[in-house]
Amino acid sequence: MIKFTRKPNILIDGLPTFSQDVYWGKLSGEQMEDALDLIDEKGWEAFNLKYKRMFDFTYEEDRADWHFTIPITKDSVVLDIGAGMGRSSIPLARIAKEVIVFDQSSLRMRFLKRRAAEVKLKNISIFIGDLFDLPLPEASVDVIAMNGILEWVGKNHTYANPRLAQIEALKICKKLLKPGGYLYVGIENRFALAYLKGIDHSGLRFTSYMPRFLANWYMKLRKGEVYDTYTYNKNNLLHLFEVVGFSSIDVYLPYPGYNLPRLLIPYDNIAVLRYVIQKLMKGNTLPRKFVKFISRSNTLIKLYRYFFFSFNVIAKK
Amino acid sequence: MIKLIESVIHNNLSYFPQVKDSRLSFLKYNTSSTHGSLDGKVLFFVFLEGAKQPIFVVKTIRTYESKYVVENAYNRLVKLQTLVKGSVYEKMFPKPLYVYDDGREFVFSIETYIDGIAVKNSKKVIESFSKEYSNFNKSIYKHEFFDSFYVYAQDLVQKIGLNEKEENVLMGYVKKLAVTDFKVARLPQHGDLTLDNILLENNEFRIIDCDSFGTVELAGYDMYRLVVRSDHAKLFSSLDLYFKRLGLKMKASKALLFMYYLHDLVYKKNYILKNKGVNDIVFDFEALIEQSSLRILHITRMNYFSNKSHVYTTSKTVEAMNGVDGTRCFLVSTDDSLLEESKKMTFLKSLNLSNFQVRSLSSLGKFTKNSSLRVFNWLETFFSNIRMAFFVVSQRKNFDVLYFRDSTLFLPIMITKYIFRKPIFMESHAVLHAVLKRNLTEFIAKRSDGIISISAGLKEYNDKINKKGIVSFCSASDPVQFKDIVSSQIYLRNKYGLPQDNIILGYVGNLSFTGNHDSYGFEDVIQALPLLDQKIILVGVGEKNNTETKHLRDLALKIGVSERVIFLPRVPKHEVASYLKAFDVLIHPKAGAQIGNSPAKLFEWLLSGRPIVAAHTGAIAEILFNDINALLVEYKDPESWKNAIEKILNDKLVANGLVKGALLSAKNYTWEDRGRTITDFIRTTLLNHE
Repeated sequence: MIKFTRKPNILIDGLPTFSQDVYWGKLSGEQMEDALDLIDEKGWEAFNLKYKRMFDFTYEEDRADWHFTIPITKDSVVLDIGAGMGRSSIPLARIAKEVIVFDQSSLRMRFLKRRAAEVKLKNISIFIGDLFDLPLPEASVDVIAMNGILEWVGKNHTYANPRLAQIEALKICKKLLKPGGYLYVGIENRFALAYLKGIDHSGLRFTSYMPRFLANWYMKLRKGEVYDTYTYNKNNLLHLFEVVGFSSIDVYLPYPGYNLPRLLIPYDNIAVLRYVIQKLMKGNTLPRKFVKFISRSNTLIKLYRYFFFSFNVIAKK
Repeated sequence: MIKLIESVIHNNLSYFPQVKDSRLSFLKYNTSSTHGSLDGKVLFFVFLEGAKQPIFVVKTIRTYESKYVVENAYNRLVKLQTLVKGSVYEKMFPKPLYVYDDGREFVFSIETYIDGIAVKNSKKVIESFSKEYSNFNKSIYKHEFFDSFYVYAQDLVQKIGLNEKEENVLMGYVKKLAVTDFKVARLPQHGDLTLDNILLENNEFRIIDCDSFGTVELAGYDMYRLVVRSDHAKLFSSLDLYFKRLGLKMKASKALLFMYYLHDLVYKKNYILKNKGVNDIVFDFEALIEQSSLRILHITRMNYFSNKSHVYTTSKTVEAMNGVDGTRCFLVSTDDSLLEESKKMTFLKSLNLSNFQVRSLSSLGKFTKNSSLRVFNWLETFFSNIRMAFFVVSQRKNFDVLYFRDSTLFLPIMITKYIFRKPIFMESHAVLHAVLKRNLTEFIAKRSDGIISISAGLKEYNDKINKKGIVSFCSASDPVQFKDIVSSQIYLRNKYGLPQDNIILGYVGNLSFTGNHDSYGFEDVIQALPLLDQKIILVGVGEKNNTETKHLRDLALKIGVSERVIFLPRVPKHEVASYLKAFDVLIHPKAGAQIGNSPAKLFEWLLSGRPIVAAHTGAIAEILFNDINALLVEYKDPESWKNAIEKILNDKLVANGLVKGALLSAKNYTWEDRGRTITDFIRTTLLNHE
């Protein structure tokens, strides 16, 4: 067991709490409370009947499939930061010695506590805490998972800009990793094609495509808030990790996205990407035909990578 | 894990070219169906540096507890390769190379990568693959059988996880589907043969994902899985062809399909079973069969209540086709007499038919239908065409095959063939004398996907126009007709006002001319009467009016036998059997003696228990055999009729022998056989239809 650097402020539902309790999610806080009560009173079957459709991906076991790319063993201690409903924590706990979970939402952590009991996993340690204020000692974990977190850490406005907050977050992770340890980050691509038709993390259209100052101005105009959910293209994302000083960095293209990674394509191997497009992508829709067509050209296929939906980054300390 | 895999490959598979010195790249892959499950496989395609395609496929699992998934898959692949080793099919499947298990947390298998492009859902490709796959199955088939279908079914039903009562109910359903037990061929199946797992490389088929090989050993399961997803209308015919190619005597049946269906539930769709009871399973299966059934639309212009024999034979044929597993046949006529729902039941009941979809269309032709003027007949044909064409267009999604015997329904036939590109099948009953109609019939026959001729002679004729044809006699022997009738001749003769003391040569049917205006040949029999004993009289039942038999009455008068010839009016279908029983000898004249004049009535006569004397014509000689089930005579020779009749009357042994022979041969002509022969022909033809 890792010895924490400080004691929790309080216990919520028996969970040590080290930070302010903040909740956000698809369901309202009240609905989450109801859901937890339902699990306690009537069990998982009743919960599944009522809520399963609202908890997309919750029971899928593949969200942490990136773990195949690094050497996680039964001796590894994994830290899952911003674990949410535990969609990565559960599959990681099946293969690691221990999974330490931190999230700022007590409601989510209470849900995960019940999930872990339901699937009989005793090696998940659940805490309520903030990434910027984790009570963990340096070089204490083998692997850190940050799935869909880095783009949100700019919401911590104590830093001059969101990028600095993100760098600080990565620095913290690096500090917590043992030498030779791995950090996994799943994050959207700033120039994902999907953002041309859907909304960005900001809740508005096209903000990720805009220059940062313009996005900021637009956000203030439309929502009265600053633009603080930065995503990056591959090169700028790599630069963040380089700034922090990770020794080796591998990037994968998860398809269709990092939350449902049916395919993990090594970013730098064009031949593999071409193989995926030409042999594994089924269907004969016009966009598919177009992508298959451009995959014949080295230049165009390289360009195509710039518009993938998201990245999986594996950085070694 | 990929570092470990890389090291295993470098250490153990370096005999593959370039593996030793190459850096490896790994592409993680899951199918959409297994991506999220705990025991779903995780695949890694392994690429050599700079390679355009993988060299190996690694299969692993998310938790060591599920290692059986990897081990089983590997062992099954080993088993498959053992079976195909040294054969042309060796390269059809991946080769197992290595299995790694550290006994604690990592387990994975390595096999060769099979390249190719996933096949398209094209009828041509599937047919071509089916042929290849059947040949492969034949090459590994060791002529083994499961001795009892029932035992096999029982084992499978037990695997579903129902309670004992439900298992019994399900077995009851199985036994309803398979009335008698039978043997089923035992042959290891691929187990997951879907289009996704079939690749084409240099025009050769490759099959991947062989992890389930041998989990199912019921022959035909793979073909079922493949066809039920790609072209369900061909499910039965594809399976029949598969069994034929393997040299098996098995036939696709609902019972067999139910086993395949249960296998799918138990091995592939186990999640569905969680909330299913017996009734749901049966209901879903019946729905699947309904969807998979070949839907035949039988179009006609016949008048349902005309009491003509072709109404009976057509309806019985439709009923028989509906009785064949996996076939739905709908009967539609431009006669409007069944527009009211209640009339449908009356019609079905009147011909003792089981319930099937029969429909009337209201057409303007009804106003001109019964006119004797030719121009009105043409109008009736025109309006019927228009109405039936509208019907075919509106129902285009609800049928797979168009079936007809009336070539004057030209418009709907051509629309079906050339606009909807659906196969058309023609039932051929005669070579028409009218030039226009004959040309029209031959025009359509030439374009038909198959012709069902009602006699061998007619088939021979049709073969010159279109070689895709079979013979299926137009009628059958139906014991039901004789089931409830009184067999006392005295009673029946009293009932029908027939003389008790005479020997009656009897006939029930058309007395005058065929549709082609050929004589039925009753005059041949009348001319024999003077040569026979005075006690022998001739009774012909079926007179429509006095004028049509006038020439026969005149002939009888002329040769002095008018008192020995009795003509009676037409009788309803259900009375025919009683009349036959009232006679002593059944006489069948030449019935036109043209190609195709195959008399439907003969099939009923075989069951009558009365000896038959018939004219020796080509069509009749296909059904009646001299001295076996009838006496055949040179019909223009009165002496010949006389000799045959006397032979029967003078020698009871001869008469009894012929009756026995007739009863025996009746068993060869059943409606079930006719239904199956026609549907088998359609299905086989459909397999080649693009």
